[in-house]
Amino acid sequence: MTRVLAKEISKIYGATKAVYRAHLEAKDSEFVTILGPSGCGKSTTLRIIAGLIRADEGKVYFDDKDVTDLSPNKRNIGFVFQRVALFPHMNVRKNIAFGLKARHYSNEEIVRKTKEVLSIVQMEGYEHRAPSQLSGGQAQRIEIARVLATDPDVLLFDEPLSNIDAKLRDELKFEIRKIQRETGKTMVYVTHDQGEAFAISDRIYVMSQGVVEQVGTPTELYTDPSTSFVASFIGQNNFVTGTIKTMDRASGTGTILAGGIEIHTQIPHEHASGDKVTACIRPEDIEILPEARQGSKGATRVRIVESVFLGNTTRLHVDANGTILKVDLRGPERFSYLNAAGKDITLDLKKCSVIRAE
Amino acid sequence: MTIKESLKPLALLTPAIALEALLFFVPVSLLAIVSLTSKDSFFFTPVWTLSNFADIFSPAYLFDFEITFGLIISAAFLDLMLGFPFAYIMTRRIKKYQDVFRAIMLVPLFGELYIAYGFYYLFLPGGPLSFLFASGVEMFRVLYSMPAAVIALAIYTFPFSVYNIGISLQGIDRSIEESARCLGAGSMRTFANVTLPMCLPGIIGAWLVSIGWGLGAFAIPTLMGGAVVAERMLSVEVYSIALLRMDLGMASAIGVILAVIAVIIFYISLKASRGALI
Amino acid sequence: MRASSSEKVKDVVSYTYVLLISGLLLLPFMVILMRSLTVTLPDGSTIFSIKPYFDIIDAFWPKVYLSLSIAITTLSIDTAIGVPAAYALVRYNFRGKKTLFTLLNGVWYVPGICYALSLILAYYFLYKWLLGYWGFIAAYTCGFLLLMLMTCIVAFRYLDPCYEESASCLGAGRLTTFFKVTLPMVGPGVSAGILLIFVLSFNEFITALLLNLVTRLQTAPVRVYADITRARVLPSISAEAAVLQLISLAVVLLYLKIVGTKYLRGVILI
Repeated sequence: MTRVLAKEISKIYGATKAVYRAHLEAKDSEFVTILGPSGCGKSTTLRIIAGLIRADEGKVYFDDKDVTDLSPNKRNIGFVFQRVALFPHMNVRKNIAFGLKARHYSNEEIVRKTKEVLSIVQMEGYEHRAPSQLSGGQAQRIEIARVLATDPDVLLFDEPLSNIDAKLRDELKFEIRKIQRETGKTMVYVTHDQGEAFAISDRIYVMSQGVVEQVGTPTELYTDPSTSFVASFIGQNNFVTGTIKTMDRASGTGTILAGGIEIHTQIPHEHASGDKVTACIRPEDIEILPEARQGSKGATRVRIVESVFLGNTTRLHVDANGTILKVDLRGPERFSYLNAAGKDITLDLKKCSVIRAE
Repeated sequence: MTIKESLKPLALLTPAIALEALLFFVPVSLLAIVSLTSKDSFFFTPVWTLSNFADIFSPAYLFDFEITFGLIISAAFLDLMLGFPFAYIMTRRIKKYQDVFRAIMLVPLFGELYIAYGFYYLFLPGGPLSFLFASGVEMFRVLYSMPAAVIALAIYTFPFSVYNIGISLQGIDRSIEESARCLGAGSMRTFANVTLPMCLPGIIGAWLVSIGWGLGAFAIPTLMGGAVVAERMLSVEVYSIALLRMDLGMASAIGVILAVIAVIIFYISLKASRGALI
Repeated sequence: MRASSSEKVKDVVSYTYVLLISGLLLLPFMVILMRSLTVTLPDGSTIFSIKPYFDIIDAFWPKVYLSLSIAITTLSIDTAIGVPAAYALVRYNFRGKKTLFTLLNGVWYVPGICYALSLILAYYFLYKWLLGYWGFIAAYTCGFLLLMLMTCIVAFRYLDPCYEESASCLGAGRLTTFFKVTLPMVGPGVSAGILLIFVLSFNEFITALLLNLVTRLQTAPVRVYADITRARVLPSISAEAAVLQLISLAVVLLYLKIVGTKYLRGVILI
């Protein structure tokens, strides 16, 4: 129920910019994820929001309150770590009661709250277990219960599923989403797993090397990457760099000449004729045209170099006048190209996103 | 860190720093000061002189240094000879009872006096080992002799030495040895050309550590090794010169020299061991 | 896995060697123990008897008591000083930390007799009020602080910061976190320091010898030494030494039984 704002925060260690001028906003009850590879600064950003790290620049606000100088215990947050941080010398009940005792809840309230949160995470009856008796997934659930018990304003989860088995990870991420929806708490979530982020987030901040590359909904990030990093980190992409040959402002389309390929596609207005750009074409967005349409506008003639059958996909590596492209075929069509190396086919490359060449 | 932030750790460290300052740095500085006085003059009006140090570095004390370092270095070599196989076996072959042997290693740590006493009794004429010797006189010579003292000292410093060797052995990446074996080298060749050179810094470190701790031995030289060792061992001389001859100046000077040598030796051994781990 | 005969031979040789060396290490102690249990009868024969232990009770027990008292006081003070100091060294980063740590290490590397002499000088000329029981305490707390520091540093390093951070995020202040989370989790490590300090200060001999000469206090090990130089090797003297050894051994074994060697690793020896 609280808005989180991290305004232009930076954290610099010696010569390394762990986080640089990062700006992050999570609205009331929103599920925001910071996504990126290891070392990109996502955990550092989260820890700054939590107060575990002091930023060198910038401010953190919860609603309109400046919490930048507050230590974590004064911020009323719920932080879940990558590694299960249940206190091993206390049983589940005492673990959950810990935060409540620190806030001077009465004994009756503690008992009531404990029951309440255990039922939210579906772990009723586990009060007297020791953490060592819990499996990874169970422990993480108790961890979530523990942070929920203190009724925090903001939930901050730092890659909570990294150490969990793949199958359980699937289940748990939806449970986390469900709990977040039901309690209505604002969530800032960190992960390196694109699939996880896409499945449960309202909005995603993509970070790389300390800088926020792009922010948007999963769909926006997928269809409209604004930098080459985002284009390559999210899903798969072919990168073709060239110049804009012609541009029709009225329809927003144009032609890009790259190597030996001519691409007809939508070009954003900020570009102009003559600009150097990179076209990002997803392998699954490339259409194979029937032979009849060989000569039509936008058709590109290529030769299949290799064909790999991956089960639900057939991946073709094709040579387009010197540029190698990856083409993914799904559906029944994929069986038609199993031994197609050496064959010539026609492709339609119009579905791509155009970004400035770097 | 701001000044205010560094106050917190400093506050936590203050008692320790104060303790060490008052009860280590002050006394040791005093020792250095007294070493520059002549005989027992510090009791009254100090007579400043460098003669103590001049004497130590003169031929008069050469024999003392020989005896002291002869004993300590021999013990250190014995430690290496016995300790290297021990450490090797402990780190490579024996998995099961490691904890038991580790516990046994703790024992000499606190028991210099008991090691001295035990060996003393063992080699006493008419004692349990007397059946090994033809006559009492011969036994007497063995008891009060360097070899007995060397063995006793080696036992005392054994744990420190083995620890160092063990650490450097553990620091050796096994896959390097395994690569050597895959390339066709037999165990002996692998050991000689791969393992040994890699733990050599650790071995040197262990040897130095034995020497460093040996410098502090007191009960062993006193009770074993005979009049020669007992009188000429530098660590014992600190005691006897200070308290029997009341020559504070000289005793302090020897103390200073011993301390400086020991610190340098330990410093070098630390550097040597660290090299082994890289 | 080929359990070939050469492997078995190697194993036998290994175990034999280790056992031999261990036997050698333990030899002096066994000898003392055995000597303490023999009594020579008037007719020249020797029998097993624990009489020597009873003979020494009156004279020796007060010394043992003194040594115990000194050891326990020392380890209490060292724990109180060492635990916060180790915490500061591990959890904070400040300028000069490495230098400070090296300086604190210094005591351990100065030979015992040199340090003992320096203490006597300091007590006699500067700290006159320490010429007594508290002189022992002062000397030992300073001399053995490093043991507590090292074991606690290892213990704190083992301790993942996520527990303390978690406690903080849940709302606990620094003190609560320290007493309810940090200390219980680091306890076994601290206990390793307690063990080492007890055993070493209980048996400490060189400093005690020098202090004996300027105070009237004689700790148990000094008494043993004095008896040896006076009367050589009597069963009663062996009994004295054996008592000290047995107490030390009992404490060590008890500790190992309860906690194991985990927290002693990487400290000094093992």
